[in-house]
Amino acid sequence: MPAIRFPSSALPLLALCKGHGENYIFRTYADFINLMVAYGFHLHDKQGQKIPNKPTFVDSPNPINLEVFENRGLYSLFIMLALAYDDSRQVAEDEEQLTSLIERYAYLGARHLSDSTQGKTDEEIRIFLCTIMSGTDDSIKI
Amino acid sequence: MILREITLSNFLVFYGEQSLSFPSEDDQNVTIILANNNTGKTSLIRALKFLFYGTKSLALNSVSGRPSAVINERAAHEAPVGDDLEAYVELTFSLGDDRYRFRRSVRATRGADGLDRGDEKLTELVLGEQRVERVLDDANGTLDAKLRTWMPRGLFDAFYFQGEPMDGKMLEGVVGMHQVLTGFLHIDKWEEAADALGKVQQDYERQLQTIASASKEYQGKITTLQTTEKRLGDAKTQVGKLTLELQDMEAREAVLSEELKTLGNTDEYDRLVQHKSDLRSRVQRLENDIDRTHEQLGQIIEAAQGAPFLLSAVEPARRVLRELEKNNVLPADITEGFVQRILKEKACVCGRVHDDGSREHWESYLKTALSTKLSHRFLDVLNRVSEGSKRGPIEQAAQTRRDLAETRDRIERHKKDLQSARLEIEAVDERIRQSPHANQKEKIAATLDALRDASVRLRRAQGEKGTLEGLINNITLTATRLRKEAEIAKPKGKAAAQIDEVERAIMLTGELREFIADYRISLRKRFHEQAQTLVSALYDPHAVDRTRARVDSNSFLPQIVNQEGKPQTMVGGGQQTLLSLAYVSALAQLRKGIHETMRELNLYLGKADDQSFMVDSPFAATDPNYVRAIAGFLTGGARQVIILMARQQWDQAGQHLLPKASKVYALRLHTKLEELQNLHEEDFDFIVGKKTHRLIASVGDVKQRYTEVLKIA
Repeated sequence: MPAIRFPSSALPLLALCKGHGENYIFRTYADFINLMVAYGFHLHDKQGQKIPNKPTFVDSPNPINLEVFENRGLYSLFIMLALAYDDSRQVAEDEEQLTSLIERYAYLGARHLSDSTQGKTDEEIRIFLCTIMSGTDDSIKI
Repeated sequence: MILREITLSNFLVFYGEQSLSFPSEDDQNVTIILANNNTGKTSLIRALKFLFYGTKSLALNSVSGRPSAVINERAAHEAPVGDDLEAYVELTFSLGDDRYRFRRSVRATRGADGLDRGDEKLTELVLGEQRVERVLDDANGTLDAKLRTWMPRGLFDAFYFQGEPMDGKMLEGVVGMHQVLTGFLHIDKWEEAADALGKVQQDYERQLQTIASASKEYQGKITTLQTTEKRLGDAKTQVGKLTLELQDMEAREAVLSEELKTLGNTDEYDRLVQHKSDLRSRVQRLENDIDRTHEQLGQIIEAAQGAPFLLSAVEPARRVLRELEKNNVLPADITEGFVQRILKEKACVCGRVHDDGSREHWESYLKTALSTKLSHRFLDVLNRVSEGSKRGPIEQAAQTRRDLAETRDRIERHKKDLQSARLEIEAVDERIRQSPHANQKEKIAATLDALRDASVRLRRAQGEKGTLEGLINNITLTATRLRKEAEIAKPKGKAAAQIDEVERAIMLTGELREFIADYRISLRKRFHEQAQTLVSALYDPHAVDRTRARVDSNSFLPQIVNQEGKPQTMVGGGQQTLLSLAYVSALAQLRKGIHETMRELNLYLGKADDQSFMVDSPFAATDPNYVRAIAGFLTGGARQVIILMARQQWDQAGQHLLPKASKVYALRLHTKLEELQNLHEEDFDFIVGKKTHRLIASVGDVKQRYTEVLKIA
């Protein structure tokens, strides 16, 4: 099964992952990457930001097998994004294309988040995430 | 002393000649002078001090205290080299029905490097009905002495005080207080009177000796009697002195005991310390709560699985999957694997051998069929994006946003609580620092030492007094015996009549000396009673919190007590200011009373009339409740009041003072506006009635800076 590589743009955010910072948020890299993917999708879909064609990756942390995402119930979210990507089943049923799309979304999300939280404390990053997650779609009635 | 008019010429910040006059009629006795900080308020008080005591009293900074340092810098700068320049303060004042005008000046010559040292001069301008009739120079210091008698140096700071009277000499402790009270009670004058009477008595005794020389026996008896009576008088004088010293010692001991009692009674201090400890625990708890809530925030973010960002994917995904459903591709009843297996077989599922038609049919299935795995995944997504799904991104996003909002609110609440707790800690810290119990152990130890020392001295003095009183009893018996013997030996005839007359004079002189000694003792008692009555009358009706003023019977120090009579150790600036004003005002009235009493006894002490007060910034650090009380006191508690007001204080208390003011002056600063640090021109705006007065004006050069007196109302 293909794996999702760790985007280089996410390196400044490693402290959000367990094992890298005292005040971590994500217990696994998969959870962290999932958020980057979702945020990347949002930036592309709602704010028109371009998905990078040639994202770059790092060897460490290691690529994360798609199975890990599946086990954590995250794979279906990727499928959903793939279906929404071009309004067809094409990318969703081709794991290589799906992996590539997810990696590009992750790169975009991580890059934007790294830039936006540069120099911020752990607490401030939490508040920033809280703010962007609270204000993403006002049409949702709470 | 009531001030009538003051004229300042080139004195300190005042350039040129500028005058202020002060009303003093019964219902028009309040003058207000508005000025921002550093524009000349204090210079006015310094002008009075200069007039009364000269440049030495001013602690001048410039050029090692040269008299010429009082000359206005702008005037000095503008004077041509070689010219003489004069600065002066001229004060017209009343004492009783008499009016006086004094002028103290400094004249200096402008050299290339500035002014020379300068000479100081005091003159009295003797006033007639309409104008100055004579000018008297102070050739032998008489005028200086006169001014100092009318306005003793120790009292100046009490009557013309600069905003913080409780910090002044008046209330700084028993020693400082005693010096001031000695001035009030004129102890030195009483001693002079007692000494003078002693000399008179000696003269009479010498006369008696001369008359008695006719009879050797009588002269011998008289000599012995006089020696004995002198010993008796000395012993009584010593006892009188000891009595006064004992009073001081008892006062000192009482003050120290009271201090120790206050130090020992740490209820309030303990309460503050406990409160601070509770607050610290609260801060710790809140900090932990904030950390924990931040952690919860992270957990919510993680659990959200990015759902809030995925909402726009829901509809397109749903559309694609519904289409698959519609085309019977989903769920995959015929999967991709199944079709591939059919195509590998020779026969179709119906049992007939594959022909081209059946293969083509199955291959068309293959193009649309899903693998079992993909079918499951698509179905899972479909379930999630279906309307009403409990585990889809929509519901998850909504829940996430609810949780985030609630958690953020909680963090904000905690932070607000934390900030207020920290501020409260600062306030409590300040109160602890101001508490008389700060550094308590050292203070208790020092006070105990002082108390022990005072007690030893007191006991010793009491012993000495007891011994002296015993001695007086013995000498009195001896004197009585000697008097009888002298009576028997007394010559007869004309000499006897003369002797009787001189003896009566001696007796009267002795009685008067005793009276003075007793009076000095009872004076303190009366002084306390009167001080208490006056301070109570001036303070109690104005105290908005129903506290009362009490004057200590031994130390004469005023203090504030609550309704139960317990001393209030933690009192605000307003109460202290009010107490100080009441106390100083009471002392001024007492001073006048003492002068009148002594004049009745034909002891002339110089003039003391109703007193004027000049008060600089009386509303600093004052609780708003007390602003009205102090304003009420100032405008009704003294014969003449001159109030110097800074901007903030005017904003605070102007509404209470303006209706009572007979005159309002303002000091306008002329300066280079660029020199104002952190201030704007509007900061110098004073609103008087409906009009705004801007007390700042521009000059081109900072060397042209000066203050101008304006009459506003």
